[in-house]
Amino acid sequence: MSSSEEIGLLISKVAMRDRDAFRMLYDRTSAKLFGVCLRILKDREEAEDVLQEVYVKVWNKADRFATGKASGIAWLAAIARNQAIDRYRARKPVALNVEEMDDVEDDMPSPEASTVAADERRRINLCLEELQPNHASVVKRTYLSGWSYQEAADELGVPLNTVKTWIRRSLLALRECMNR
Amino acid sequence: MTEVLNDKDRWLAAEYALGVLEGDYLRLAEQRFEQEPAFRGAVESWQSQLVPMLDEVEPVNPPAAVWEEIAKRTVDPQSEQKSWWSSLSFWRGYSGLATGLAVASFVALLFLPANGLLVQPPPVQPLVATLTPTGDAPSFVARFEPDTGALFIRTSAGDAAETRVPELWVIPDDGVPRSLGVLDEDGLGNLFVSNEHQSLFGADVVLAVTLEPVGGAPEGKPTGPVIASGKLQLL
Repeated sequence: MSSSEEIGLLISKVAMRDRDAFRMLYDRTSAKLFGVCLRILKDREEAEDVLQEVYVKVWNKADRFATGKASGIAWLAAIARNQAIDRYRARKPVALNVEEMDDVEDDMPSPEASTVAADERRRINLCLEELQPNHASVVKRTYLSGWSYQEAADELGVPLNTVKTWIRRSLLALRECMNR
Repeated sequence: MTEVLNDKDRWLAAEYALGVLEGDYLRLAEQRFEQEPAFRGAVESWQSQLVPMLDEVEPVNPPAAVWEEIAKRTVDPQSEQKSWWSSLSFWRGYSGLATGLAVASFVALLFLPANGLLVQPPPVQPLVATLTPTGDAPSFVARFEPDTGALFIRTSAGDAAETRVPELWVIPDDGVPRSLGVLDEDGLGNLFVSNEHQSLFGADVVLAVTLEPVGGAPEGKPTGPVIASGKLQLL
């Protein structure tokens, strides 16, 4: 059994209130998720706080995992990223101009939903290499830092719509590459 | 219930998974993730595709105090009381026939009404089962929602033989398997349980997966080997 399947099984056991499985899951995944939170928050104390919230959420929502189709680690990472991003954004209130967000390049084909086996771990890196180098690094930095479109635009010093177009193009290309 | 996502929906799902949304769009995406299975599926598919990027994040061990706090915050008196009853290791340890009978009589003691007949209380809470494999078949996890009759099942590995398909059975006290339906070849299923079969569901009832000819078992009786089985438990 691969480690990602093992994590999925542990989460399913946590859904059944198996505390041993919960501890095992924590031992197997907390260092990675702590790293993810630190990368976004860049503050140890806040990251510790958020990590706590993450596992309390895992305990309370594990039953949701059993009926979903995310891989175990993807499900955990999504909880950790969302929680860390929430905390990060709570630090500074963001004024969002909704009009500006609207419908950039809506004629772009849509990213078709499909399930790809989660154990194709190296694949995304190969696919990222196929993108223009600056676009690939934008996607990566945005994902790892938990940036919003606006934050990415500010950090990179380019207009919001430019960043949005880069990222959407990259997502499309990524999905195409990964479904090949 | 198949909701079809349009292009805008798919972008919203992709951008939500990446984490770039904020404000109204973020709230909209969160709400749809909670409420719409098709949207949730699109988001989860993206999450699984993006997560390998986290490979380059260095793991950092959190201080021990974090776990201690988590452990404190996840204990609630109710779950502690029933934990021996619902914990998997309990069922594993007591899977023999003799103890199975002992458990059955314990259940009987719990639910024995004055007229002496064993009645299962109708389930109102969701029931879950982990179907542990025989041999090197994959494990399955099943969840039954009594209020809607929906039964979701997923497996830890999609590795079914090409010429046969996994079929799910409920085996109540009388020991006669009733088919609940054929699963995808990758072991996924969102089934609807008929009223007649719903009445068979309850804690301690066995679910099993067999391998059957494409199209399902002929004559509604299992013909292939049992690849995984497990008991339903109240969640």
